[in-house]
Amino acid sequence: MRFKNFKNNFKRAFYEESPDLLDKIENSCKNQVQIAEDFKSTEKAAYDGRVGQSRFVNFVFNKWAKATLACVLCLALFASGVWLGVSINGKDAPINTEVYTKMYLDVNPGLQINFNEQNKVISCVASNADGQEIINELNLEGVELNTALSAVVGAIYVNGFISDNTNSILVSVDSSAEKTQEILSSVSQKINNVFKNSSINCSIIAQSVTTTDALEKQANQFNVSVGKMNLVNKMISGIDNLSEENLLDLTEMSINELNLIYSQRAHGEKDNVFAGDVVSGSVGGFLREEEALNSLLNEIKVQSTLLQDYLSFVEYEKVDGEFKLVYNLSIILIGEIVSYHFKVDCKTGEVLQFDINLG
Amino acid sequence: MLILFTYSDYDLNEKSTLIEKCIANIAMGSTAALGELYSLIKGDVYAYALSKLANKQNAEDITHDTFVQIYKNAPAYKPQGKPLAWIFTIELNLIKRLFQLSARSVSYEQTFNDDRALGGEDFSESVVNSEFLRSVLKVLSPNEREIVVLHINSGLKHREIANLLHMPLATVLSKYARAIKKLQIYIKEGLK
Repeated sequence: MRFKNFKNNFKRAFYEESPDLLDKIENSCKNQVQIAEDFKSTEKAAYDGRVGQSRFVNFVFNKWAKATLACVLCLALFASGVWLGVSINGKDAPINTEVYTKMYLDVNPGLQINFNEQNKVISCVASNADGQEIINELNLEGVELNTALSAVVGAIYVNGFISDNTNSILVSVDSSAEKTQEILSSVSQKINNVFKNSSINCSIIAQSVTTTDALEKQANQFNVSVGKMNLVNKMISGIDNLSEENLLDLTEMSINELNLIYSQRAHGEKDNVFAGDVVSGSVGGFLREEEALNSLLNEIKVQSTLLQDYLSFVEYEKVDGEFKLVYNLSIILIGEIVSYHFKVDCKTGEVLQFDINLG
Repeated sequence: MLILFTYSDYDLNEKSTLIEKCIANIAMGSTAALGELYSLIKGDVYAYALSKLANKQNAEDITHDTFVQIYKNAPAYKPQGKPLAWIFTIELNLIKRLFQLSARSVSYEQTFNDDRALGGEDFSESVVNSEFLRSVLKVLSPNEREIVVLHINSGLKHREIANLLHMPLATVLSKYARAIKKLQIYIKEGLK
């Protein structure tokens, strides 16, 4: 008998063992007076409304929190004189409109900036609603690549999409090999310059991409940018515990969430998939692997000196009905013949599930 | 409409939502909702009582009293997504009271923490019909039994069990680990 079968048999046996007491209970309840007699039908509607609504309340709160954060960030940027909003286009002369370089920028806002061979912006296209919000604030036509990059990242920051807890930026470049290399090698520094007067430390993934019809079609299908689609495809190919089944989940993740999983790529044996990627900074808003392990050891009151070995990987999975990013931590303690397996919430360090295996 | 639920694997969140809806309707005096709730969680409530008491009659009485208390207190329940924890708290209080009534000469703490079930350790055929269940329950100590029942049968998280039983999480985890080791040996031997 496997353990899963055991669990099902265990539940079934108890269910079948349970006596039928309903009539007796109903008779007993007839003589009972419920507490809180003033629980009127009008209140029931409110009561029903509260059932299962806590997520909505949190959502509203988050919206307000985000709005407040955006206001604070705006003020901070005004104070430091780094406002990068409208009217940065000072070029009136006609420009070469042949697209030479495509740059896809993804945070949560996703947008594509097209440059000519002289690195001047030809056009800017949003890949989602948040991206459109950013584009509406800027007039980038004719602006030089580095200035445009700073302006877009600055506008994303001002609009509250970048913070300590959502600090990941994906930059994808489609150009000649030489130009792509030139951009990828300097993009982290350019972006970090935008934040030199703030406490934000960005985590940047810069990758090269080849925009094919198939990739564009797939990106449109999942309503993401070509850059994000490319990254997701690479993660599925290059990270052991991901497969095509995860495609939808991954495309629906924020760049920050993807970045956490991406940071686990070193555990795979297919690292060549990620060759050429330029990565900097550490992802915010989540516990690092060693922090999660320490949190776990602290929670289960085990000293780190007793730890013989451990294995960890991040997964996006349904735990107790809710999809979460979790560290799957397996630990072996010195002198023990069993291994312990924990699912630890990547954000909070909470132990969500626990299991134990022989050997 | 009376919905018939079985032991089968349903999503715990979905089950919690259904339980909370039942409690909301019970708060309005609906006996139909009480029937739905009974179908939904009778296995959970009876299993916990039986694992704790090892006595069929006492377990039935506690199951009955738990549902009556749920009916009485339903208007005061505040939905927080964890109705089973609330229900097991009611049940545990009833069990504690039974322990107290049965051992007046001994202090409550001594009695309750004694790790011995009220009614003895004998999971005989008169207590449990299922041979499988009898043998499994005999393998485990009372504390291990209640943790295994709450976790495997009812899906409570270890943290929720720790809160319910006022035990440190580490204690719950270690007791659960010990129980699972015993059960794995039992399963392996059963296969021979």
